[in-house]
Amino acid sequence: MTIALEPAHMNRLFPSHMVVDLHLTLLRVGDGLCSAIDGPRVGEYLLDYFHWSGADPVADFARIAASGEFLRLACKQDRALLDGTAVPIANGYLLAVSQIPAMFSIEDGTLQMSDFGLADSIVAGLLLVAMQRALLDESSQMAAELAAEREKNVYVINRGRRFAGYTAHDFNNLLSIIKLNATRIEQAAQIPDDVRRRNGIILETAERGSEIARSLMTLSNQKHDSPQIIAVDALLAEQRSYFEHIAGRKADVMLDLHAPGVTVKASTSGLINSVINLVINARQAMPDGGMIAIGTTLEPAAFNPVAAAFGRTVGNWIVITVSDTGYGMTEQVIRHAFEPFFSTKPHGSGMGLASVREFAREMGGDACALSNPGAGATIRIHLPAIDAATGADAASALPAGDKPAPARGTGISVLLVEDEPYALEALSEMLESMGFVPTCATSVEEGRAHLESRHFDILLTDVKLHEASGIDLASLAWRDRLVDRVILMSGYVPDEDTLDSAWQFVRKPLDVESLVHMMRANT
Amino acid sequence: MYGLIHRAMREMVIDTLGDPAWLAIEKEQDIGPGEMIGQSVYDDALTMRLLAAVSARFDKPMDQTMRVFGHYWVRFVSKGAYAAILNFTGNELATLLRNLDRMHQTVRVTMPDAVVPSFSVISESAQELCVEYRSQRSGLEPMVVGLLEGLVGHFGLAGTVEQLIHPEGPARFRINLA
Repeated sequence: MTIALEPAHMNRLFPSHMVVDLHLTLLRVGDGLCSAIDGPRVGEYLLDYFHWSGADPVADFARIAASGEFLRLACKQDRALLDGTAVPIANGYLLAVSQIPAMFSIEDGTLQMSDFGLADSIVAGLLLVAMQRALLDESSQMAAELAAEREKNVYVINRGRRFAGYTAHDFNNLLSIIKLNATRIEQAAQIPDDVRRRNGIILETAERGSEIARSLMTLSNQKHDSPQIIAVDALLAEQRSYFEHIAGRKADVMLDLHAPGVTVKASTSGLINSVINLVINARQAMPDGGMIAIGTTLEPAAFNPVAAAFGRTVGNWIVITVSDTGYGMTEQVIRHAFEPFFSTKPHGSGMGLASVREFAREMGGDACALSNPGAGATIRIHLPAIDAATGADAASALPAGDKPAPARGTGISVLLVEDEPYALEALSEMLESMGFVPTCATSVEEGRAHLESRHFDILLTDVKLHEASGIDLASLAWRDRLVDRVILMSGYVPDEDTLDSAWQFVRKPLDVESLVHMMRANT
Repeated sequence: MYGLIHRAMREMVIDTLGDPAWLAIEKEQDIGPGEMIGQSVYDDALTMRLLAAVSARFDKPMDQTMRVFGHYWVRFVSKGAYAAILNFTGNELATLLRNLDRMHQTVRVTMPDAVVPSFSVISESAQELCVEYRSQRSGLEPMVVGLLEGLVGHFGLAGTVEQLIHPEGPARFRINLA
């Protein structure tokens, strides 16, 4: 059977075909080959463009054409390959060959679908590989989107929690005033029965109000996971492939971990989310790709600026860094970078760095940024390292032998600090009536002045005061041995990390009986 | 239709009207990331529902929105990971249109449920190209006009696209090149 094919048909079936004479001089070159390889021209010698290892090429081609053997031509100029066979024709051969891409990729734009024959299965292969890459890119983008979405939700939930906490705190303060004053009325020697009955209603209703406040407190304290002891290097190493996925194909991720075995007490998901956020930011700062380095170092508290800011000089701090080689940040951007809703990106949520700092601060540390425009950026998360065996933060504990011995007996002196005047008045009167000797202060400043003038058995202070924290006052009094005991009172449960283990805590609204019992015990 | 269409629609809305507009559509249509998986095939009814919601946001009739989306689709696939596929399919207008079916056949290998259209160049000269479009779907012709206009722009050409009256057969479009 003889089949006649016009050059146009040959170009559709074998765009890279060639026709040579018996001496391998080119007589025709397919359209597809012209665009793929710079060189083969009619009239030139075929093997000027292609490698050939045989000693007698003319005889080799005659043998291939006679037997229909496989023919491979490797281009001398680049890595292009042509596979097929030689077909005998009058006074020469038709080289029915197809291009085999050196790289099975169409991403560099050098290959065109039209360079391949209509029946060439390589086209489908190349497209499938390209679609797989597109799918991977999309997966990576979706992972980043989902991570950002999760962070946004966590931020909103946290905001709700804080709002619930503040509301409960204020509500408890008001209830405390109502309960203290109602208790005073109840304790009065002679009051008419109807007043006593109505006072009972007030107390009962205040108690019901306390239940609502407790519900709000429960809501405010909801957490996805509790802080636990985490070996940071191991956790980051475990998550490496996830970080690489988030970083995308254009960015390389390098782990540079120098804190083996060092532990922190933190929320695992919080820590992972924070690093994910930073990796997302790094990726976005390097649209053309680059390097993302995730590192850890251990720093003595004495040399760590965050530890110094917290007044901690003992123990070690771990510093987790995420660096990129992107476009960096100006000083002005760094100043606002951690503010919620601040973003330099067109569709940025402005939640990423804000939530990283919030996480770090909740865990007793902080986060900061270092950068220069055009020179990349580094975000540092500082966290106090802890003893994995005991979970104790070496930087905050006082040696047991240094704790002052409690005083005993009646006439217990109390420095009472409360910025709600009605609550202060009622509590002071009640303590006085029960044999305590209260000294009142409505602010940290006033409390400090009293502490400088004399020693007290007990410091009983509200936690959230208008201008400062009662914890600061307690820390001062405790450090300088100005009081024997500290009792904090609040409608909002303070972060345990900020408290000394020897201090006591009483929840508002105050239950007078329990408070007095606590104050008399061990004193 | 496949999710890539939804992703392109989302990007068009965000680019044009901002994040809140798309968030509003997501809420109103009760959709989320699950409806944005590029290589998943979704019910056409969902795609048309989204298109209607986008039209409402753009305050434009559906056919105009489809035409705008046709333009946007070319922009969308000419960047990112799909750009390589577009460039491989053809580096000039007629070649790309001739090779579209072949590219779509590969799409069908990866997504057997995808219903892909067919394009063929039925006549070509330096001034004009006549393209036949066949699809199991109906009513998407305005999107094809936008798509062809988008391709003319993609190759740096100037020209207009019109749908020809061809009541007896598949839809035909003429690209008049300036």
